[in-house]
Amino acid sequence: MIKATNLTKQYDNGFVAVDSLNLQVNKGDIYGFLGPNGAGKTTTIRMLNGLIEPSDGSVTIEEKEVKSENALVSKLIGVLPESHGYYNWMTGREYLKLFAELYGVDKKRIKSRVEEVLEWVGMAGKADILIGQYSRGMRQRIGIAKTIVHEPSIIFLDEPTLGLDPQGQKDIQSIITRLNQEQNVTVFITSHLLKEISEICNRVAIVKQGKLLEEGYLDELIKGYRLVLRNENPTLEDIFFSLTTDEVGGSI
Amino acid sequence: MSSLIKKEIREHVFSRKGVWIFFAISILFSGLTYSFISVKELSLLAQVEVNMTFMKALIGISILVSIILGSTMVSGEREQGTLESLLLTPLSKVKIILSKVVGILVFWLIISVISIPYFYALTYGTNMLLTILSYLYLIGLPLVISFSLLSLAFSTWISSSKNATLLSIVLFLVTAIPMFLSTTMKKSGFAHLVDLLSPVSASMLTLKDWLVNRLGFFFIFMDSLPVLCFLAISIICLFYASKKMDFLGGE
Ligand SMILES: Nc1ncnc2c1ncn2[C@@H]1O[C@H](COP(=O)(O)OP(=O)(O)OP(=O)(O)O)[C@@H](O)[C@H]1O
Ligand SMILES: [Mg+2]
Repeated sequence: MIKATNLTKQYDNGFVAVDSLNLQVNKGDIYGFLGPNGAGKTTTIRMLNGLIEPSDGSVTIEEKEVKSENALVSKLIGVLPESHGYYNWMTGREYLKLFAELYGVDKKRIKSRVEEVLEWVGMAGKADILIGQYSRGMRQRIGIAKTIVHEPSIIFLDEPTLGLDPQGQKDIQSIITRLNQEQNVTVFITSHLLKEISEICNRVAIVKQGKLLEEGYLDELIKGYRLVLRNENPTLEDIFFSLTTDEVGGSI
Repeated sequence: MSSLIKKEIREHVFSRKGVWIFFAISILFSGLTYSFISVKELSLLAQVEVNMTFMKALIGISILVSIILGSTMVSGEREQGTLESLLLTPLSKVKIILSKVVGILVFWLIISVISIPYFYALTYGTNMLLTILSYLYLIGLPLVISFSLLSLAFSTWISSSKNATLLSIVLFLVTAIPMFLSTTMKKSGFAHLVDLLSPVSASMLTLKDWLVNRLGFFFIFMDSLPVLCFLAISIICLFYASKKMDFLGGE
């Protein structure tokens, strides 16, 4: 479970990227975190991971304070950062082995675990090629494999399908749903593909300018917005635009 | 942590870059040695001179290489986007930096071992080899490693590897100024001060007092104090820099 209370980030230049955010992600959720560019999604993820310190508020993951129990928390979570870099001079297998070791996976388990995650992301056949020669989709798969190599119970994926072709997007989506269903991994995901989010997520939050605009179970949100939007079957996209678009004819 | 150390050694020592540097340095040493040895009728005094020159060249080149090595280690990871993943692991920041330090130590160990046969050749027929090697490991390498550690600290503090390299080079040039000045110029206020404090000047003075003037332990130790202080300062700087290590980087 992820619990953020009053989470706020003001960068050194004075800009408030995240403003008193309260959210709770329950075990087993696939939680979609949505918002336009610059809404503060990546900043929020980094605070939830303990990578940057909140200016205010606190985060707990599985009842552990992220700030004070950082090393413990980092073993519980897996993170695929937004701009994820790789050691191009390593093969995919070497890269996964390195991170398995860094995360303290049991020495005897490392070899088999690396094979397992390679199977999971469908990279077993390409594991001995240098990462520098991978395509974008292959890198992203190795990135996801790295994210889960230490069997975290919660994973954070910051735009995992960015720049992938439709097939690649579908593949990543099915990896995510399988991880959630078969391994009971809780998923916190950001994406600009609303269709993708509505297909895989059970809960969503919509943020803009660092503030939480809406949060809830996807099916309940859709029910709730029927009246507001005067639409029998509103999509996530309809809800998103109604919340994030400034009033037409407003202050132009 | 051992896996990260292995990674650093593979990336910086047994990589194409590392092997290329070792190769270039061996060629350079061979050239220098050959030109020294081919000068016939070396008197004993001249041989001392030759060894000092070789040592100076070794230290000078090594400092430059060490700046390049140290100043790209962290900022390079930041720029290629791999630092974030390292910081997300349970490893502490100090340990991440420490693995890089081990990489640096292994690198310099190899360079120093490469230089041993050349010193053997250059000191042949004298009893200087032991002195030269003691100097190399007690004064020369600590000086070079200090520059590596400081560059590493800069690269941790400063987000751009270009700026980190620039800062290290400026530091080297300032500390090396006295080497380019004549004795009379060193008497002037600023140059004199730099000369007194500069670890590079101190290392040269130590070399002369040890090899030529054959002073006792106490004087050699006093001569080398700036080098040892410099090493201590660079370790402290690196320690604080590592605590502040941030994948976004701040100036
Ligand atoms: N280090 C920083 N210093 C100052 N401002 C920053 C910093 N990082 C991000 N910001 C600002 O904070 C805001 C939120 O950025 P963030 O990256 O969290 O947005 P995002 O929702 O992830 O956007 P995107 O969808 O484009 O990835 C942006 O306006 C950005 O300019
Ligand atoms: Mg983002």
